[in-house]
Amino acid sequence: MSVPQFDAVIHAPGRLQICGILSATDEAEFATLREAIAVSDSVLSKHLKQLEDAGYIRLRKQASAGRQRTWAGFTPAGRRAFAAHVAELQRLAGLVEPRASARDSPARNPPPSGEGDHAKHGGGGEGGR
Amino acid sequence: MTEDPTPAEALAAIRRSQHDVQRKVAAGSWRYDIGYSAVCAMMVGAQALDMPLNTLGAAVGVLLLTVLFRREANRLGVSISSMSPRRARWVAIGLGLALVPLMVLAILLNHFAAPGVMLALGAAALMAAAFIVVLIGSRLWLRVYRRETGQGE
Repeated sequence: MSVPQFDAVIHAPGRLQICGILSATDEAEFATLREAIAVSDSVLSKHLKQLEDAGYIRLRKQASAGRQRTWAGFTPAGRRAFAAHVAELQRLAGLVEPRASARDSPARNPPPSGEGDHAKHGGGGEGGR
Repeated sequence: MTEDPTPAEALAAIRRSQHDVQRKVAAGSWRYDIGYSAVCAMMVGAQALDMPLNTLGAAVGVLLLTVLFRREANRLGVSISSMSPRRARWVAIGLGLALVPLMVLAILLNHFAAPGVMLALGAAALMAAAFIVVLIGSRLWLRVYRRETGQGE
């Protein structure tokens, strides 16, 4: 079990998805990652560079069928950092969830008596970071 | 997804990415598993042959497995060595170990059975057993892999 630790490098949307893919594989190809997160080559390169600079992934170039393909894979440090980040997200989501359900429960939050603003305040389970 | 996702949004995005990979890996996996099982069965059967054919059979088998693996990785755009994640790794190791007694039996068959129909039938039976063991093991590996990577870790 990893020690929960928030990681800003991993948390950015594109990099989060890249790490999600890499966590389920040994390596993923550049084109596969680009299609999965629906970004341009340059944006993906930037994300990969940031993860590589942090020591979380390694990039490998391989010639295949006359063209060069780039493969990305987690380093052991990257796998550990991602597991710790997921553990922290789960911890934070766990903190937000009971609070949101307590707010939503009829005992704490009786049905609105006409003003109609309760649902807006009671239903928002996000933003707990 | 927003620029600063909430923990729930981030976890959902990670799960979606992992499920996409799982779907990719599962697509056409029967064909890969059948090819993989056939090569392993051939390697077991080759052990019932005399030297150097048995060694050659093993070497060709390893080469074919490597080609099969690389082709599948290029087709899917992801490479999974079957040695991760943790529990799936043990299924892969167990599968490899399960082939050892079958190979030993094939070597013994070559030593003790007279060349002819009995040797051929014995080798065929061992190959069939190896094929079934590897096919079941591969499907089991996929199930364990999907369960393990579906936990958001």
